[in-house]
Amino acid sequence: MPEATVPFKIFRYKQGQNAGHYDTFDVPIDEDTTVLVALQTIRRDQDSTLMLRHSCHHASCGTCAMLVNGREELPCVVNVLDLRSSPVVVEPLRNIPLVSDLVVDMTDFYARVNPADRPYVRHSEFLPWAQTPDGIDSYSRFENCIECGACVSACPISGTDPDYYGPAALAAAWRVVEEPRGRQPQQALNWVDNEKGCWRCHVAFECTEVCPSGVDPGGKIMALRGELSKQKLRGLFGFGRR
Amino acid sequence: MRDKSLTHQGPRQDRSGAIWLIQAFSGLLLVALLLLHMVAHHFIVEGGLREFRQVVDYASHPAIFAITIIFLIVVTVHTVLGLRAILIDLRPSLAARRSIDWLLLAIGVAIIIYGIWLEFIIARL
Ligand code: SF4
Ligand code: SF4
Repeated sequence: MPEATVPFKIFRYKQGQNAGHYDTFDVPIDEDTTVLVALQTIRRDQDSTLMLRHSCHHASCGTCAMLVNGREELPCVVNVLDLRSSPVVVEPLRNIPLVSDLVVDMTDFYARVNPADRPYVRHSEFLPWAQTPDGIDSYSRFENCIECGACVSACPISGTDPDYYGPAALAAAWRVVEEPRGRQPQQALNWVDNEKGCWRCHVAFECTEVCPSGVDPGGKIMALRGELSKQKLRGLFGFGRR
Repeated sequence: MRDKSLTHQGPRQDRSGAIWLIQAFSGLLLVALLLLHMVAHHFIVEGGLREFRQVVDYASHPAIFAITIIFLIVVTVHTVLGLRAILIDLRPSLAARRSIDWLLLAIGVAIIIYGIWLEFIIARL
């Protein structure tokens, strides 16, 4: 049974239009309704032209990231009643080209993240006592980053400099340094050692604040700087680069 | 071992790391020098620096004179690099960037020369 009707103010834009606008829809909500389900309800019952992306519905795929009340969120895990807001304002991610309504074009985002060639799995820190079967040294788990783009949307430098690698790509580079799994850490370090890379960050940590997956991209950028600083200082004082 | 040649997939390594290090160290030095400055002003000079003559004598002391000049250089370097970072956020063209670099260098050098000159004048009062 619906517990309430909540207005949703949604950003709308279609290709060819000069500017976007907002449409408001009243949506019946119960205690379990997430923002994503509310958007799907609008699409099903009120306006089938509403465009959005989603896949897993449980914060594993990162596909649905958008702004909810001005903050980067995965709407699949945001409970509408918990927001305690009326209306709930829903907008597409920032700093990523807009396709339509709530859909952004992630092509450039992936093109930035992929060169780091971060492994998709990492050493698992869970159940350290668990015995592994013969032939397996340790258990692995999937990487934290779900490539949702929330960090890039929140980053003020990504907003002002389209050439900036962005927090997700830099965090991916740090993963190669941290746990190479056959990659070349020094190449990853060289890749980010420039003005468009890790030195461009203004340490606002907005990326870390909004990351729904605990990646801490801001911290990873600082780790890259720390490692490169060590190398530069070693070089300066004659100890040679690693 | 794979070799994806990451270095060929983005801009080349540049001076930005070195510039960041200078800014970081000058920032740290600034904190240390400011602390020293405050301690000297409030605790070393008995009763604090209250009169013009006291200030002049204090500034003329060789150790304070040297510290003030180091402070001047550190503060100028830190400020100029900070200003540069903000200007680069405005995404100037390559030519404009070169002009910015030269202009900031000139401003920095001028500030340091003027500051040192003033220090000498004060020390001779
Ligand atoms: S910490 Fe760096 S990468 Fe993260 S939001 Fe701030 S400027 Fe962007
Ligand atoms: S670092 Fe976090 S916010 Fe950025 S893309 Fe990966 S999961 Fe999303």
